[in-house]
Amino acid sequence: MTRIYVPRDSAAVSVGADDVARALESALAARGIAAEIVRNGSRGMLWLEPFVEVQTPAGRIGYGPVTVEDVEPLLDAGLLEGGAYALSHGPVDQIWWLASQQRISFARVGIHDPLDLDEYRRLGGLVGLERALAMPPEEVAADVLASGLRGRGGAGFPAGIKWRTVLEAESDVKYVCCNADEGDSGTYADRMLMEGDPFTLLEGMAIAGTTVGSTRGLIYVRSEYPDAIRTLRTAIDIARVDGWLGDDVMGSGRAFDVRVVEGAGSYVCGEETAMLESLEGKRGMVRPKPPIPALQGLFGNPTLVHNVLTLSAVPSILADGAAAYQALGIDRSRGTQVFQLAGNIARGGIVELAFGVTLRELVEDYGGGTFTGAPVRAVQVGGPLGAYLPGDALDVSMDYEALAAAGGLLGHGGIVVFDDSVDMAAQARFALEFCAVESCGKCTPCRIGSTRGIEVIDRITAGIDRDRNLVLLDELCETMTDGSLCAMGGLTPLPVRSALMYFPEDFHRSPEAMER
Amino acid sequence: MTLLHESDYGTPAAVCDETVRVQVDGIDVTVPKGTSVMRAAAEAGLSVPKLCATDSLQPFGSCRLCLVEIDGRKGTPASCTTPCEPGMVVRTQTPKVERLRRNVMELYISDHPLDCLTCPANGDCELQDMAGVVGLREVRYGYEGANHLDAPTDASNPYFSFDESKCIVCSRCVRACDEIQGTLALTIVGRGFESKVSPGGRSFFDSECVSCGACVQACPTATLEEKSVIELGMPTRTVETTCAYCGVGCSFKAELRGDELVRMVPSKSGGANEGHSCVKGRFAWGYATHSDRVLSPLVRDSITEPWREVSWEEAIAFAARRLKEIQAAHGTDSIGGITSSRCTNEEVFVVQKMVRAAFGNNNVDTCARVCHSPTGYGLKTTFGTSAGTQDFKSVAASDVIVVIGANPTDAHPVFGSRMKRRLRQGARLIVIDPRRIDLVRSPHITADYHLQLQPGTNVAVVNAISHVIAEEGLIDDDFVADRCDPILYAEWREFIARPENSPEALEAITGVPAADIRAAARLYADGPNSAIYYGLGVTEHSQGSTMVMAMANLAMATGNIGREGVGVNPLRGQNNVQGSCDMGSFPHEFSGYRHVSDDVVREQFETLWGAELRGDPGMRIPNMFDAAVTGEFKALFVQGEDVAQSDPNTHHVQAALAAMELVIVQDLFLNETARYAHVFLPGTSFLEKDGTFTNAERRINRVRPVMASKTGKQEWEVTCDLSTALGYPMHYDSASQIMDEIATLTPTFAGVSFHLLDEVGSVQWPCNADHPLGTPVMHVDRFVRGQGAFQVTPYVPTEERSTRRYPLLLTTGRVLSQYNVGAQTRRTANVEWFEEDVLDIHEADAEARGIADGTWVTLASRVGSTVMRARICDRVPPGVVYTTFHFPSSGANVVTTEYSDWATNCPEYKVTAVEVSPTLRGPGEQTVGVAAGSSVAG
Amino acid sequence: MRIETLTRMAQQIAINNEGVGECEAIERVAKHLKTFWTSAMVDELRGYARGHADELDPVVLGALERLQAQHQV
Repeated sequence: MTRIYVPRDSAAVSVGADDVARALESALAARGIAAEIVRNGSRGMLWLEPFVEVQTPAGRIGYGPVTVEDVEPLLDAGLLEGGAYALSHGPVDQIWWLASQQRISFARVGIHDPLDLDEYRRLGGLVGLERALAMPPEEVAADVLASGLRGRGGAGFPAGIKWRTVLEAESDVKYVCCNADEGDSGTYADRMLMEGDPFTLLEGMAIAGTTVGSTRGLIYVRSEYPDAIRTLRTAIDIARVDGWLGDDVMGSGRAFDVRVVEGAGSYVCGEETAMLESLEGKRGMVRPKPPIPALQGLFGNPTLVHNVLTLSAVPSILADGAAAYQALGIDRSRGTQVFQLAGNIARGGIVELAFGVTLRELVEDYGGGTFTGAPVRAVQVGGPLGAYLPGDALDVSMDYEALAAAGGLLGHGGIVVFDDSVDMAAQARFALEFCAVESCGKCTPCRIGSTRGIEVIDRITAGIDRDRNLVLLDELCETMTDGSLCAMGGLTPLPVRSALMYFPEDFHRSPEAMER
Repeated sequence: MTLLHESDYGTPAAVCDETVRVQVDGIDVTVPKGTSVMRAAAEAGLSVPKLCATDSLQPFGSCRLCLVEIDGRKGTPASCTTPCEPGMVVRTQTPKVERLRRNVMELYISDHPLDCLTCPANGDCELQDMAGVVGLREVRYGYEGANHLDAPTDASNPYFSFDESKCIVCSRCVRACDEIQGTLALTIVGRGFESKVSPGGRSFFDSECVSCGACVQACPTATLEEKSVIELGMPTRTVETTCAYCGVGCSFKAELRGDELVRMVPSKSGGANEGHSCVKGRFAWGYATHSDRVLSPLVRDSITEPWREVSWEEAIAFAARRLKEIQAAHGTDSIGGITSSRCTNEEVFVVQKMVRAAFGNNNVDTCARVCHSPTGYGLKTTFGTSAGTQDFKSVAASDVIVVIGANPTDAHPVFGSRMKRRLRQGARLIVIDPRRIDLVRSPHITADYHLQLQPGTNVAVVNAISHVIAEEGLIDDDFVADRCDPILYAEWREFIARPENSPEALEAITGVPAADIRAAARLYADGPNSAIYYGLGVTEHSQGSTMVMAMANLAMATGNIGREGVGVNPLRGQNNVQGSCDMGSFPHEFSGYRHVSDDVVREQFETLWGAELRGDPGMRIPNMFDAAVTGEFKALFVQGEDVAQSDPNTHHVQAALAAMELVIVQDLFLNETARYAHVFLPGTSFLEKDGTFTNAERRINRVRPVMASKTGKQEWEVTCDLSTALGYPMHYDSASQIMDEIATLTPTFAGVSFHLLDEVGSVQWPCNADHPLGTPVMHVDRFVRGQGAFQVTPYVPTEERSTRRYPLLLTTGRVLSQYNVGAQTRRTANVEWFEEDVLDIHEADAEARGIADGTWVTLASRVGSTVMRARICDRVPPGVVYTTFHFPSSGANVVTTEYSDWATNCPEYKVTAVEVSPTLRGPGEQTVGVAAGSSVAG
Repeated sequence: MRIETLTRMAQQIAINNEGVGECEAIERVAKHLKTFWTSAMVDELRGYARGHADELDPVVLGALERLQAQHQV
């Protein structure tokens, strides 16, 4: 029976994928055609969603973006045979945008029904877990260290060191906590992975848990991701029935189970200690470190905290070997990064590539420049607390160290593009507004400083005491950078200062300013 | 904040044998591992600016004023949350951190009212101090930006207000409520700039706040401020003294303006409370200066006449003349005296001395008779000392805590908070109580076992626990062999193993499932450190003394005696129950619990006192009342106890008082007993007293005169005057001299003096040559009596049984805001929380009787009846009803009976067969002529 | 004092000291009365016991005898 793929990913659904699937179903029934509609994950080519694929002897042929109105003409054009149609993109595995990527974490996303465990196995799933269970835990941790994998949540801490710390910590109770409180603007990779290939995340957690000696895994998913939560919960049930989660993981005699916790709706809960507080049922406020969570985390027990993308890289590291992963990347940034293209961009979506690709390649080659066609004026990398880079500075290598050297940060791999209509003073103000709204309110620089920062910028742009206020803003940025308790307040000055540095003219626009 | 500045090290002391050496601003300092950089700096004599840090709370790291630079570390870590590491080189003052601190302070002040000069906390504000310390000179942000200056003030609590506009959101109040008090009533709501402190979205008064004052204490600004400070102004001087409410004995700093008390602030150096307090001690002291107080002596020839105000001389002469006349007519033994557990050790000592030396008999007793006399009997018999075994701090080392017949969160709140802190850390909890007290389930605490026994079956339950421990091989044989009398042990071992003591056999009597008893027994025996805490729910029974001994047996059998974290610990009801017993208030004992028949001891007293003393026991309080009714006992001196209201079987007490020819009452207020009195001698409040109180952990605390005596005399002076007038001259220059005499005559007090107490704060007796600074934990290497004495403890049921006519069992207790018979707390704003006693009744019992929630009911026993409001709740099981005894109008004890403990005659307040029925009558309508009054708890 | 009160107190003391054998119980009750009762109370109870031995627990009677004997020694 012919298989037709219509993504179930919520990004696809948001532009009508469900309607297209329903229309297809009834049209096929009306025509008496027997075909199976598979709801797969998204390929990550978001400008093509809903992206419909059909399995043909010549491979999967893709069409997009498909609307309900396209369904009848598409069938008329011979969809089931991969017939020619205006929206056709030909064989999917030959689309350059996809074919040129180095997908490891996202290897399966978009290919299969995310909850079809047989398909997961067929596509290489559970090999990593099987291998890990056959190895001494110390060797598994050593492999993770050797792979060069670093935390994908933003801090970039070597994952293997964390594993070893938790493994060596003495405690009857340990936890593995997956941070899926994906809150950065322009980021969606965690969600697409959880919706599009939840087993990979669960397998990564199972490897981590059985390695560090934890029996309890928790995934803290932001409440705005109901589909991801539903998908994960179903996947966990399936994995339990299959015997690779629960009291006896794959007959190893080791126990590990996972529970999904819905987040409390706060950006700062993406900070690991605030997430732990929230998981304990408390207000999501940042804890001082030390003690580090690896030694005293959830309920005071040793806790391995990782982002979704970090854990999702683990199964392939175990399946294909640390060396294969380590072979990718540049300098101290090894393996691949899942970049997410967003903002004013022609071709937004998921681009997983080895570290070292330039920002220009991502924005121009993959992104196709701005959506409006106007020149790129600024790119913000790493979420709302990332630096703004000017359009003429896009040749920076996308890795932890190079970005830091350029005054930016990689963060969670989000890339937001702006064209020349952007007001960078407003963007700087927005960074502070975001901080004022999302700050947990614990430390003073973040709690009060963000609000004062908005006011100072307003005075600057209004031309009031500009020089004095520029000094004040600079000192405020220093106070927030050096004085804040966590990265929330500590990084907020990054977009502000980069906007000031690269786009000073935007802070000098007011009529009063002209007069001076 | 507080006027008398105690040093604040910023973070709590680290407890670790390992030390680390660090250098702070060039000064080398060695501290225990785990010490924060901030504390190390403080110990080196340096002070790092701080606002959110205080050494009573865990470090939080929010204010960011304490940033420092550390060699080899990037950035500017907060010194409060950074632990010292070996060889660390710290700089607390660098241009970088100084600029950061100033800029952080600038942010604070940009959202703070600029009303320092008119602010009630002016001069007592950490924000103000720190703004000065960091050198803030201008606020470049201006004051036109977003702010909270218009935030409302919550004045709903009668004692303190919450002015949100002054709040700096440091969370000290929230953390104090969580970490110190354990109520978790406060939280931060909102995010970012909108973050604010909130009592759970309600007003303070309507919230779960218990008004302990910890938040007010913790607040570094005027946000949470005592209303008295707002009204009266900042105090100008401080006197350190001791609270006069319950037996926890909290140390307080009384802060005054001139002679006017402005506020009571708990002392961090207080051994019992370490800076914590409850609503009573912290705020409910207004009774001490209440206008109801009588300040001049009163006399009258008969109780039907009105009082005549007279001079002290006339009152003393009148009382002495009448006492002498009565003794001449009816014999030496026809008079006696009662000492008070509310008075100081010195006041108590001179009263018993007057009775023994001037009255010439041993007819002296104390109000502890009706509360903890079984504790004295039981612990002396088994261990050799009539006192608890531990200090309060010990609970922090307990792994299993057993609470029996006590309600610490209401009746001993400051100790209750300590206990809750340990329970939140994971200690296991067994509650043995007919009622579901708050501890059974409160935030982050759930009792592992709540053995909800039938009232009156304590002994059966504890015997069953011991039975399981013996039967299942859980006895600590080494401890028993090393430390206990083998013959008595063998006797007990045989007794406890009898099948009739098995939980299965006793299940029908106790109502506690045998499986629960077995599980609880295993938990207690496994410990490793198991501690028993108990209250009047143990002692105020016909088997009170047996029960105390049964608990002692249990502790000895499992080796839970003689170290931190274990023991058998009475929670004393009144401030000086322990002390009044220690001071020789019982008719058979001199101070230090030595029998009057001991010739050697008696001779010491006779020599020093220059008087011949009797060697046979005198009358107990109930004996005196019985003898009064039969005409043998004619005159009573009673100090600080309202026997007509507080003793059981009040009709009988009233009849006894009415039959006497002379009743002398010394008290603050014209109480119920004064209705029967011929002489009223005004007493002094704790704010006027000079002396010592001894709390439940044997801690002797100084009570210092905060203000001059309002009566013109100290109470001990009055006793001396009366004694002198009776022909036995007694004179002391000061209370200190009385303590010196106590020390001379009492081996356990031999090292105690006011000088020592002023120097070291407090000591726990025994304090003598062997223990010059006192004894926190007793029976460490050997029991005071030598070998631990197991006692056979048969369960003898009370004669008080539920019947067809009185099918329910009544038990009584306290609430947090009220105290005892309410004479003090009813004269304060505490009535806003609790304005009448109510009867708790289970839904099933209410339903069967047609009783609706909140309606009036008649509560009747075979001896009397009273009327109060019913409250339907599931805290009590079916068949049991419960009430408090704080209000005379409801007079719960109208219905309590004459039954008492077999060994000590401590009344059986805790078990009364009653019936409850709906009524149309109003409150306060007690059955006349049967009984009236309410129980005292000591 | 009322004799009913004294007899009730004495009986209660006796019952609570049973369980160790009558001989030891008598010893303990005697000691209790000597330690805690006024001599007048003991004398009054003894006087009553002379005519009403059948109303009192044998342990109480034994204890009174023991006290008498000690007194005479």
